[in-house]
Amino acid sequence: MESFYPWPDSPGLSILTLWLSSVVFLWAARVPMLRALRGLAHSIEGGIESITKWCSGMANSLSTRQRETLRAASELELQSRISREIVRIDDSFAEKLGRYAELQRKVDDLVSGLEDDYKQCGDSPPQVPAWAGAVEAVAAIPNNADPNVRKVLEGIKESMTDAEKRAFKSYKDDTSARHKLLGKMRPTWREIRSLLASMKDAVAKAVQTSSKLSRYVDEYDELVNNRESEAHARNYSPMKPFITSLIVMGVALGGAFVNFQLIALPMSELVPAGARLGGIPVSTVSALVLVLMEVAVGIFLMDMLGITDLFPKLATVAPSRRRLILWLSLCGLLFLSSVESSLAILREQIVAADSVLKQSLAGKAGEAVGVAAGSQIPVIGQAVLGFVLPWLLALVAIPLEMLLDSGRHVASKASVLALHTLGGTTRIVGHMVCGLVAALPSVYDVYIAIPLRFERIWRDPDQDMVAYPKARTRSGKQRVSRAGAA
Amino acid sequence: MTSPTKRICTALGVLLLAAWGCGGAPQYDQAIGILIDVSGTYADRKADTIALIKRRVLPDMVPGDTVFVIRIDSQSYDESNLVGLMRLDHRPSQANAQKLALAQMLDEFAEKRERAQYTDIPGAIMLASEYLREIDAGSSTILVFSDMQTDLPPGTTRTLAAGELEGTHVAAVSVKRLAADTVDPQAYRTRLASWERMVKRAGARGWRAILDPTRITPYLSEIRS
Repeated sequence: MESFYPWPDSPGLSILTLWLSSVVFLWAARVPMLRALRGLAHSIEGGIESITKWCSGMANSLSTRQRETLRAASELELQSRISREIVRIDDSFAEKLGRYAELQRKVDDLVSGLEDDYKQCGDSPPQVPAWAGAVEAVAAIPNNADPNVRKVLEGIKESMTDAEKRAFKSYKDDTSARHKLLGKMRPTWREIRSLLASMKDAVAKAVQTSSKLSRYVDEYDELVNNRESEAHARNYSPMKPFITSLIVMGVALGGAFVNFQLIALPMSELVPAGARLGGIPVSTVSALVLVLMEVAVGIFLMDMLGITDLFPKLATVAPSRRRLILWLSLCGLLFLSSVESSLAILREQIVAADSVLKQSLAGKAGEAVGVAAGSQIPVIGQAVLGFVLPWLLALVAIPLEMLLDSGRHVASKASVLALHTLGGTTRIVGHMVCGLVAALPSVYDVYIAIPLRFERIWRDPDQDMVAYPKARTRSGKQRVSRAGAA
Repeated sequence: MTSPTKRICTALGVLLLAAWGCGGAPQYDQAIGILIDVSGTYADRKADTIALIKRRVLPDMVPGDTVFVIRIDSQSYDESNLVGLMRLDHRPSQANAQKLALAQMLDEFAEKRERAQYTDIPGAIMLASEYLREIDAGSSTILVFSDMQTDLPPGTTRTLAAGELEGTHVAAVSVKRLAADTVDPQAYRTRLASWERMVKRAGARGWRAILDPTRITPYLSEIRS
């Protein structure tokens, strides 16, 4: 500061001189300076207005796009639900109603059998012989003493009694046969009842599924007919699958880390242990690649099984080739898990050898290595873990797809939020800056207040001396507010 | 992507890989030269020194590292002073076997009763620097187990040339204090300071006096990274 002093020895005089000259200079340059300040204010206002407008525009555009994608996702989800339901109905119809005709035929057979049996069960009392009336009339003749008449009558009576007995016996036999038939009909009725119950169940289930499908179709119709409605888009929340998949991915990452740790050490036996790739030992990189390969094979496997759709191009591949890729993936995964299992066993051996070496170098060669080292449990555990973990890692394709699907919506939502925040912050900062810039001419006039006062005295006191040109456009505050509203 | 673009990208990728492979890929292997004083009073410490090396240096060496041991005696700049040299195999199991073999060799060396009349430390350092230059590892270190008191036989001259220890780290480990040092500690400090000046003048990347032997392992790890 002292370097600006005209008389360094007299700082007071120097400061006074500098102040006076600055006041005179600024008074002389008041009009252009105020114009410059106004230009600056307009530039700042314009810049802030543009930023706010851009933020709002981008946020609106992103929001619209997000709504569209949400609606599309909702439609897709509903479509997949309907198609799933249709497949289920198809299966159900094929399983339950496919047997309907057979059941019907069985019931018909049973019913016709029952009808025959019923006919056979008809109660047919034995017919009284036609001559019975004549015999009765003869029998009613008074019993004379004539032995011939009596003999005839007794003969008639005996034959009548015999006929009655035969008829009664025949009736009893018929009744017994009828009872037998009725007894045989009981299980048939039971069977018919059970068949009818299962038919009722099948029909009820079919009706239930049909009503569910009808509801989905109605929902879908409503969605298609009323595309502008946001209700469906709101119903579909990407946060739930996003958080779920994020958690599962975190768990899978932990599994991958365990897997990596399991094979990192033994890999040094297979690849040059001293070599490094970008500062990382090649064995570590190889172990990482092996783990990533398991994940990649798992993704292919899940795609080929139709569980995920991470490679849409693979969906168009011919079924025979799909089967080929599926088998290749399965064999690859089996191979990798076997390699990992053997590496896990090798790891235990390396650890034991290292331990022995360190003890030997420390001069404790004769001491026992320890009970744990002699146990087979860690080896078996590591081998099993090495075999199972790749298969579990293969399942990571499912949460990965969910994460990618829902992450898009979440990122879009976050971007909209960030743009709104940026727009709001810019608006607040804009208000503050505009206020400050608007105050600058007044501060300027305060600094040169003395020469201004003299000028006012010398000139006509009625004349307005404020040379600060009035803004022809609306104030910055108004502009920023309108931009924010937009 | 169009076919020419694909080809250009592939070619660029191959070129980048080739450049990375042929060019400045950093080396991470380590060469350690161990100089053991067998003269004067330090000769009594030979067995302890060997035990220290086996416990603190050998276990943490990784496949690809090189280690050699040189005896400091009256005429250290001699091929016969090289006790043993070993480059560890890239397979850890083989490297472990090599370490055991080297440990056995060091045990045999420790059992030998010998005491040199003079102490030729610069000669041993010069011999070690030649070996280190030939090994050309990612990092080179000389560990000197001595009292750091040079006592050359009459007529012997030793001068560390500028650049002799280019890129080498030198550490004096477990420097024994002489009788005169206990009387005047400044003599000990001056001796170490003069060594520091000497090795730095010869182009050494660093100098360290290590009192606590447990610091050897972290020191070597630090140099490697």
